[in-house]
Amino acid sequence: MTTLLPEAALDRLLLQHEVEQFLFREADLLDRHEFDAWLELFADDLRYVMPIRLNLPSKDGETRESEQALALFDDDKPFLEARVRKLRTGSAWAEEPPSRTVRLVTNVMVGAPDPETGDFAVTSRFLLNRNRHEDEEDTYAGSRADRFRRTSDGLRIFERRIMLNQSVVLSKNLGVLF
Amino acid sequence: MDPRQGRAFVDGERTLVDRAVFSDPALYQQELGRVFARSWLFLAHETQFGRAGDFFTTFMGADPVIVTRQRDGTYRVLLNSCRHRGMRVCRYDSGNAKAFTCPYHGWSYGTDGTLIAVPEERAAYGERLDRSEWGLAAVPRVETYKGLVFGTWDTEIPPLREYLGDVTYFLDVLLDPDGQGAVMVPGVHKWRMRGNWKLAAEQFAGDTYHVASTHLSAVLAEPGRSDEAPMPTTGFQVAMSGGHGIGGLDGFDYWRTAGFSEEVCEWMAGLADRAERHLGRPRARDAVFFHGNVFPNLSLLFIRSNLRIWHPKGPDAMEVYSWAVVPASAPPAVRRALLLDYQRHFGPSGTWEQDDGEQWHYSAGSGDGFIARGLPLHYRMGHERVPQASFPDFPGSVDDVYSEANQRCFYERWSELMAVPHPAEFRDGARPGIGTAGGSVDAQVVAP
Repeated sequence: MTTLLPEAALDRLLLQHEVEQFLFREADLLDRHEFDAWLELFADDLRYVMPIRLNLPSKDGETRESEQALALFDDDKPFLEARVRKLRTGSAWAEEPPSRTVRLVTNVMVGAPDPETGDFAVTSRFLLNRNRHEDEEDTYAGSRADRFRRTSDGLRIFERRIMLNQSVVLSKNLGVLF
Repeated sequence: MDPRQGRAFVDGERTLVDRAVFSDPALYQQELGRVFARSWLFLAHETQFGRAGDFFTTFMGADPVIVTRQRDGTYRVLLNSCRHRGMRVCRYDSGNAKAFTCPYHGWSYGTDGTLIAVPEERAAYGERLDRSEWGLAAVPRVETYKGLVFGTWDTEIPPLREYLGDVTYFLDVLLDPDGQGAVMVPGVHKWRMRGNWKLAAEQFAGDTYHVASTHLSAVLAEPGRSDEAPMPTTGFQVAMSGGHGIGGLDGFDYWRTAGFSEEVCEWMAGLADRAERHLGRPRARDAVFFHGNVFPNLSLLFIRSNLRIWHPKGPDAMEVYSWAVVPASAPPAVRRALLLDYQRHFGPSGTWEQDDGEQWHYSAGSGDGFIARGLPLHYRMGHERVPQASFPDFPGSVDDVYSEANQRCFYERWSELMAVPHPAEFRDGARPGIGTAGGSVDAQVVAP
C-alpha cells in the first residue's frame, strides 16, 4: 500500500530536486569550461554581485554593501558575457593555460515561490578548488543567495549574491566564476 | 662597498637591474628600513573619516598601523602593536573607537596612543609602571595633500609637499579636477599576490608598453568596443625627482570610448570644461593621464579612477589595498559609472588586473635559479634616444610613451636610499635591539 504525500509537499520535493540538479549542472558546466551554456542559465536582467567581507565588531555585521560602494563583482549579463569572451581569446593570461577547478555545491535550501510571480529564492554553499600550473592551489568557500524565475525556456537565475569567506582575497585574482 | 647595498644591484648607467632586488630576503629586510621607514607612505583618504575616533587599519611597509581622526580634525597614526606583548590592539578594518583595548591583557590606549588604563595596575606593578612611557608608538609626522593622508617615521626627510614635488601637478588631475576635490568610494579591495612590490610599483610608474600584450584579451572582450575610436599609440612618460613617474596618452575622448551612457558622457564633458578652467592646459584637456606611481608604493590609474598601495609581504609577496576615487562633484549616477569602470577592469576580479597578477607571479621567482640569477634584467628602453614626446613642458623629465625612463628613475631613487644604512641597523648588530625604533618614538607619543 502506498502512502501519498500531500500535493503541496510533493511539489516542494520536485522543486528541490529540480533546483539541485540545476545547480549541479551549473557547477559541471563551469568546471568543464562550457561557458556559453553556463551563460544561458541567467536571465538577461541579471545582477551578479559579490560584496566585500569586512572585519567589523560583531554587532556591526560583516558587509557595508551598497550600489555606491565597491564590491568584488557587480556585473550585469553583458559584462559576464565579456568575461567569457575574454577567456576565449587565448591570451587571457590569468586563465591561460586554464585552471583546473572542482566546484562542490551543497546545503541547498529552496524558498517558497512567490504566489504572484512564482519567483523563488535559493541559498547554497560552495567549495571551489582551483589548481593551476605546477603548484598553484586556491580554495574559495562561501555561500550564494540566488533568485530564480521560471521562463518558457526553463529556470533562470536573475539575481546572484555571492559571499566569499575572505576579507583579503588570498589569491592573485578572481579569474574564475562563482 | 657592502655588496648587499642597493647600488650594487642597479648598474652605473642604470639600464640593468639585478634580479636579486625582487627576491633576496636580506635586501628585503634592508628595504623595510632604508626605503619604507625613510619615505612618506600613503595611509588613507580624508573622506574615509567622518568624526573623531574614526579609524582605519593599514600598513606602513610591514608594520601594521591604525590611522585615527582626532578631535581637532588631525590624524594620529599608531603602531598597531601592544607595548606589553605585541598583540594587535585593533583587529577591525575600520570603525569608530573611544579607545583601543588590547584583547590579551586589557592594556587600553586612547585614540592618540596614550596608555590610559592597565588592569590591576596597582596589584601587578605597584607604582612602578610609568604609563607615559608605554603608549603605542606613534608615527611622528603625518601630513595631507588634497585629501591624501601620508605618514613617515623619518624626522629628517623634507615635508610632504616637497617630497611629492612635481608629481602634484599630475595628482591634482585625479584629486581635484574642478576645485571641489575628490572622494573615496566606500570600500577597499584587498588581495594578496605573489611578486615583489617593486614589480607592481615600477609598472605603474612607467610601463605603458605592457598593455598591448598583457591586456589584449581584456581590450578585445570589452562590451561596446569600437574600432572607430582606438586609443592613441602616442603619449609620454614623465620621470620626476624623488623617483615618481607618470605616463599618459595624447588627448582622446576616453569617456566616449569607455562605453559610458550619454548622461555620464555629458557630465564628464562638463567636468573637462571645469578642469580646463581650474587646472589649465595642458594637464587638463590635452593629455589623458593613464598610470603613475608616487615613490615608493602609491600607484594610480587616472582614467580608471583608481588609487592603490602595494604593501610588501616578504621578498616575493605583496598585498594590495585599492580604492575608487571620484570627483566630489559627481552625482550618484556618475559615481556609480566610475566605480564600475574601475571595478570591472581593476581590483581582484578586474578583466585587466587579473593578467597583471599573472605577470608578477611568474616574474617573482626569476632570480631563484643559479644561472638566471647571473643575468640582469633589461631596462634600456628609450635610453640614449632623443624624445619626441608631445608635452615637453610638463614638469619633470618627459620621454616618449615607449620608454623605461620612469623605471630607471624609480630604481635610481631606490638605490640611493638603499646605499645608506638605516640608523637602527647599527644597534645590536644588524637587528634592531631594545629601545631602538620603539625608544625613539616614545618621546613623540606621550604628549597628550
